[in-house]
Amino acid sequence: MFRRSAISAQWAWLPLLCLTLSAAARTRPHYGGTLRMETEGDPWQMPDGMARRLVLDTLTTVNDAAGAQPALAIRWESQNAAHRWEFWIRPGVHFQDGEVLTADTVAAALTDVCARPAAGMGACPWKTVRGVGPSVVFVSEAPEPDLPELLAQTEFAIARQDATGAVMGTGPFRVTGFVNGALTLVANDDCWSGRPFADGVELRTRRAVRDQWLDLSVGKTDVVEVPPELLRQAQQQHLNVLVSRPVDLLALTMESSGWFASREMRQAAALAVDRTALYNVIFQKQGEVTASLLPEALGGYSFLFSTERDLDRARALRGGATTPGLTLGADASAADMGATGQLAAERLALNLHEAGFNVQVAAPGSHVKAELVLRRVHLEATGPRAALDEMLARFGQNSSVSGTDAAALWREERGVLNAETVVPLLWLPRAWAVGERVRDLRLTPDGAPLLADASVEGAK
Amino acid sequence: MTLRQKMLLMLALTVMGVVAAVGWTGSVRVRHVFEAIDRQQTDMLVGQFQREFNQRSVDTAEAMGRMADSDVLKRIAFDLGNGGDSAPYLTVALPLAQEYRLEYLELVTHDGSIISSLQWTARFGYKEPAIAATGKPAFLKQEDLPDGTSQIGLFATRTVTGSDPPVYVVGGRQLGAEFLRNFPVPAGTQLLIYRNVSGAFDARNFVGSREALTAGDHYRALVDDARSGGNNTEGVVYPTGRDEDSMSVTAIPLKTPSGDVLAVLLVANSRRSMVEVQRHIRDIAFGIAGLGIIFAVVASLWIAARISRPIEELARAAGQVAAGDWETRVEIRSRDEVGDLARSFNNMTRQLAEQRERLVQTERVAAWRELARRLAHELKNPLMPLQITVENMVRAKKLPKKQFDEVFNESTTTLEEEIENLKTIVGRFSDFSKLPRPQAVEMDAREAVRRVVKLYGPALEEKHIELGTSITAEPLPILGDSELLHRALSNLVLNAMDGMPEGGTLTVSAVRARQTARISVADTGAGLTPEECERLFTPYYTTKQHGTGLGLAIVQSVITDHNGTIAVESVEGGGARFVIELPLAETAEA
Amino acid sequence: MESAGYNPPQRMMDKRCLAIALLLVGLIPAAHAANWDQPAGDLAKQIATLAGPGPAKLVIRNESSLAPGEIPVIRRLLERDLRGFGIVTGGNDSAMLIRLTLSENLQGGLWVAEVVEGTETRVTMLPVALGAATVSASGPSLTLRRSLVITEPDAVLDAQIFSVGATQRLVVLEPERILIFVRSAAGLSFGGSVAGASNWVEDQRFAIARTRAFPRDVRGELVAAPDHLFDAYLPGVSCTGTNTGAQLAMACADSDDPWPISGPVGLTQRAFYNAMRDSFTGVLAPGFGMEVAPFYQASDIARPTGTGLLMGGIDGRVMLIENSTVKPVTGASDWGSDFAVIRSECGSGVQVLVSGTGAGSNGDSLRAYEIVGREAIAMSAPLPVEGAVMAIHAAGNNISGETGATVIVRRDGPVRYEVWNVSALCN
Repeated sequence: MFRRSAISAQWAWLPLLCLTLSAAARTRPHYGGTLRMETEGDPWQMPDGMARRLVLDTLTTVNDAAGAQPALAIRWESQNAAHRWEFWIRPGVHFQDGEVLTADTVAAALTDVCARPAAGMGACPWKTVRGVGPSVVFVSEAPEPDLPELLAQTEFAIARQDATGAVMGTGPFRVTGFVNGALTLVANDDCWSGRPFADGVELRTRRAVRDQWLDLSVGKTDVVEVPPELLRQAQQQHLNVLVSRPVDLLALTMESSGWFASREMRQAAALAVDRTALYNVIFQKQGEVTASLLPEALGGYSFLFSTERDLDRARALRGGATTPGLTLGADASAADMGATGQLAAERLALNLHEAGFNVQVAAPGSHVKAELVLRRVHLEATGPRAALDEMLARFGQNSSVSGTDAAALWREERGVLNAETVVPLLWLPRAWAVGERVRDLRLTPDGAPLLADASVEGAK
Repeated sequence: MTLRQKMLLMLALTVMGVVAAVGWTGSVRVRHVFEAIDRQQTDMLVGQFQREFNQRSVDTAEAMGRMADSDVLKRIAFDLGNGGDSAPYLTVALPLAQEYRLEYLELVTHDGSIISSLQWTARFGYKEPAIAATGKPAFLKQEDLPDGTSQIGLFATRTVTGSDPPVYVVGGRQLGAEFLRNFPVPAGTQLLIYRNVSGAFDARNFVGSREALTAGDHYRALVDDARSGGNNTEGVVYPTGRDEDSMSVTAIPLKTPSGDVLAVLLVANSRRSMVEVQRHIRDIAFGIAGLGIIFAVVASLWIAARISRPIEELARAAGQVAAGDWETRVEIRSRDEVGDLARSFNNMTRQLAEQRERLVQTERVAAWRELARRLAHELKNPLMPLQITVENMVRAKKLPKKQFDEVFNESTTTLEEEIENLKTIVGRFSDFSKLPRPQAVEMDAREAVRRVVKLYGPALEEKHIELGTSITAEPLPILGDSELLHRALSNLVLNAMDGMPEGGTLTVSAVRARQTARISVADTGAGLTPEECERLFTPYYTTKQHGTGLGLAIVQSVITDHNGTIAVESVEGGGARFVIELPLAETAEA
Repeated sequence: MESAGYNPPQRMMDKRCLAIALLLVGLIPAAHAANWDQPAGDLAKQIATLAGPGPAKLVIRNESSLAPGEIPVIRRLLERDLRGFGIVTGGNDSAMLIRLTLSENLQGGLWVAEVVEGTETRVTMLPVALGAATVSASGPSLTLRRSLVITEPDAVLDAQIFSVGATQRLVVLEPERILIFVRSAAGLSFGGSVAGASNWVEDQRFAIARTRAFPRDVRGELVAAPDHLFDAYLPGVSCTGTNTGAQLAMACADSDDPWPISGPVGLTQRAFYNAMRDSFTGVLAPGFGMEVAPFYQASDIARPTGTGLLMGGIDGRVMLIENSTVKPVTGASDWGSDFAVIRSECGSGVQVLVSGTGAGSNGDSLRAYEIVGREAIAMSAPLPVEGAVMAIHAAGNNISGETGATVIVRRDGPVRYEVWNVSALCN
């Protein structure tokens, strides 16, 4: 057996989790009170806006060790070599407006999601979905062994619109209004997973991080965002911080056309990238340097993908070709990182300059077509195979993972990365600073606060 | 141009010349004065800029010095000196720069690696060579920015107090629009900076005003001279092409310590005041010139009353005389040379009238003589046979009746013929006097020609005269009386036939010549002498032995009545050619 | 801001992190020796299929939580096994390099061998299971000793061992199901459930049928029954487990019956549970003839004057009902909501095992107290817990024959639930 005594560098993020533990259950949670949270982004943004997480549920949930767990679906089974899946819907579940959750409403909701895919999301992995009695049947053209885990992603949350167009879910909270820039939600007393401890949530959106911190310091809010690059600072300021494991992949993508049509040129660009500088300075040593599509904690083999910079080889591969003015842009998710995303893009442009690439960073908000795109991709799956599947889908790769063991996953990933169209750079955690009123707040495996499980200090 | 106009013009030119000379002199003088003021102002501004620049250099250096001595930087340097991580200081340049009001700031380690850069945060870890200037006065430096552009700044480098190993701060302020905005410049003066960041001139490198960016190319020559020569250059720039927007510009190269021209300062003084004064002077000059012209008109009128009116009356009288008014006289108003001239003119016209009267009487007598002679001549010819016939008839009275009857019949026939001949002669004279006015209708001149040719074709053949025709294919529409024209052309053809008793060639042509129909009838007869040519169309003049002298006169009369002309060209012995030109009808022209 | 609140003062954060790190380091002496024979042999076989016989240089790098002292052991075993396949290690000049990285992921250990020959690199991987350790902490008069019973990926509400004749069955109560484990004669189990020293393997599982939603902080309790094997109480549901020979039978039904108040004394009080608020209403049956405030946890406790009832109120105060009188217990301000009364050979023989509030400590902890008069006096040093204590139940004499308590701990990264048996040993 392993001795749990030494902490290697790779597991250096573990002590951070002690911060998470500080908010773990000590005494039984109290009911009542309102949790106040502030975010910079849109609460309804796909795929993982905070309001979506509070109002909607998924068919399954994932935990770190056991893969998919029952949620709105109570059990499932696959047929025809994972081409067909049947999920039995939990009986007695109601939407927040009283409408009964049926297999048909689930199928309709999922069909609606697939009809309007959000930016950065992969295509739906199934061909058809329909309700058959108490169960929902998915049929896909390719085997989908990880469909139960896939359905735990928030993009596949089950939503319905009522007669007024309001979004209804089965989650622990329901929306009551939007007042003074804050979305107000109240506890769903009849929630199938139990009434949340807090009576309500006040979700103030589109608030700059610095303002969020200020509000937290004066007690105007309870939960605020801590971007990875400010994590160190938050700790220095003794904020009570919850940190997830690395769940966001920062990656550089190149189109295999135009100037980057040749693999050598893409490889040259990939070799010119200095991940260490990004990690050490811009992201203040948070997360992990990577060249892999999976975080080390999931795959366990990411060190096999070299993260070293080799400028000489990059120059040699590029040859004497004079590059035209190339543009490095940031996708919407990377742009959401604000100045840090821009800074990372500028650093990458500098790196590429050293290798002889004439790269300019697109101005924030501009819609120029960029040959190189900095992307931030969020990972929700907790199983290695499902995670790799999810990442391949997010990056628009057509291949699906067939093997199950680590070696097979590594081979699959190596095959994809060898094309050099995706250059993983850093895995970053998500973090939240929590006020003193909040108890028992934990994070989901993909780093979102589980407000339904948290309670408010002083409530009865 | 009349004398009065000449005098008016001369007077006006004289006035305008004087005004222009005065205006130009004033304008030049004003320009010189303004240029002198402009030079003084520019010199003053350049000096002021230099002082401000130096002051700001000192300010920047002092700000950097204060910053280098700040507790914040000392703490950072201490931390770094004790092996501390530099990453947390990535953005420390921003608050420091705000506190010390700097636009550029970099925190640099002892080996030149950037820890924190305000202007290009992503450059951390890269080298900053400016630390070589540590402790020196402020200097100009070109700073590359992440968007691919470059700016010029006034920089100073200092070592953080007590740092070991040393930590440097390199910071400064941008030499840009904000820098210039704080300079006290008088109204109408503009400061611009051209950043010498690219090889070729590029108007986008201007800092200071929007106008400079839009009209930057106008500064190209000055900027290029200053960049290449490294010395001050001056010139006038017309940013909008209008005089009032022109600027007197002095370009001053701003150099790095190593002598490279990093930027060019342009001190631009508006020339608007000068241009407006010049324009004012010009307007005044125009006003004076206008008044001068009015004065010239009035003066010329007055002078005309005194000088030119008698001359004009003389000229008018001369014209009237020329037009046939022989009774014209001018009033003698003075006793000077003009009065003498008028008196002489009156004498001259009186004498001319008398001479003309005498000439007319002489001509009239000559004409009557000529008419008598012609009549006598014409009538004499038929009278002689009449006389002989009558005498024959008298003699025949003595002959037997049969022979008498035979003679009588023969004689009466002869008498009738001769009487008819006399009637013809009398008729011709009568026709000439009663030639009708043409009844003009639109017709084709070619038809008249063809009709004549067709009519006389057999007769010509009979007389061994070869006929040549040249009639254009295009219509020759004229307004004319076909019968009269036919008669005129017939006269010409008959005239030609008469001129070629031994045969020859008659050439008839009808062509378009500009706006006329040109009809010519040419023969190859004996031709005419110049004197004959001159008198040919005179009535009763003939070169033929039995002609009335009215044929060509009738022709000329018909042609004239058609508003046409007729001319004859001939060389003696070389035939004659009559050329008729008739105006083409307007409808045909259209 | 030192207070009894549940969110610790921020200035303590660094110290708490340090304590965790120290704890992890402090685990070394108590660690179990490991047997790497099987993994080393398997890996050597996999390497041999890639490399073929010949000299090779072996480099081992540890990227896992493996103790450095284990590396030479693994190296020796691997070298031995490789020799069996004709691969002789040790030569620094060898053309072949075997680079072994001892890595780790959420599923367990992962040994990655890279065989480098020239410019060609071939890779093979071997998953390796992780284990657990026994930890103890000694205090002024007694030492708390804990041993891992089982680890489950899903939430565990209670776990108790019930004996049926000579057979011991471990019953694990989860919100959705009841799992029955029996002891395994075989070695380690690498399945979803990771057993500790006792090597339990799953034998049966029963879904808990219910018609009402559970509260979010669902609680449950296993209680031995006199006429059948056990009863399981959950909010609005109760189940009955009956021995039917080799197998157990289970029957669940909606029920609002009061839950028995457990404890070593065997008091016959029952308490009504408020399924909507995760707490007991304060209404007891048969009761003490007095009004009792709502409480989270209660246990009978032997008192010099008879039997008392120790209650942890929802207001955070600890009360003792003794002689029909409600008395507040002092010195219990840093108690968490969960406790269980245990018996030992030490001190007065009756201790209260209490979870910490988290205030002023790094992570959760367990500590034994004695109630002397109205005062709670700490009898042991805090036993740190790497996770959050979710429940404490008296274990009676059933678990391993020891007097102690069952402690449910939720661990993060990855999330898993550990069932510990905690008992008190005298110093």
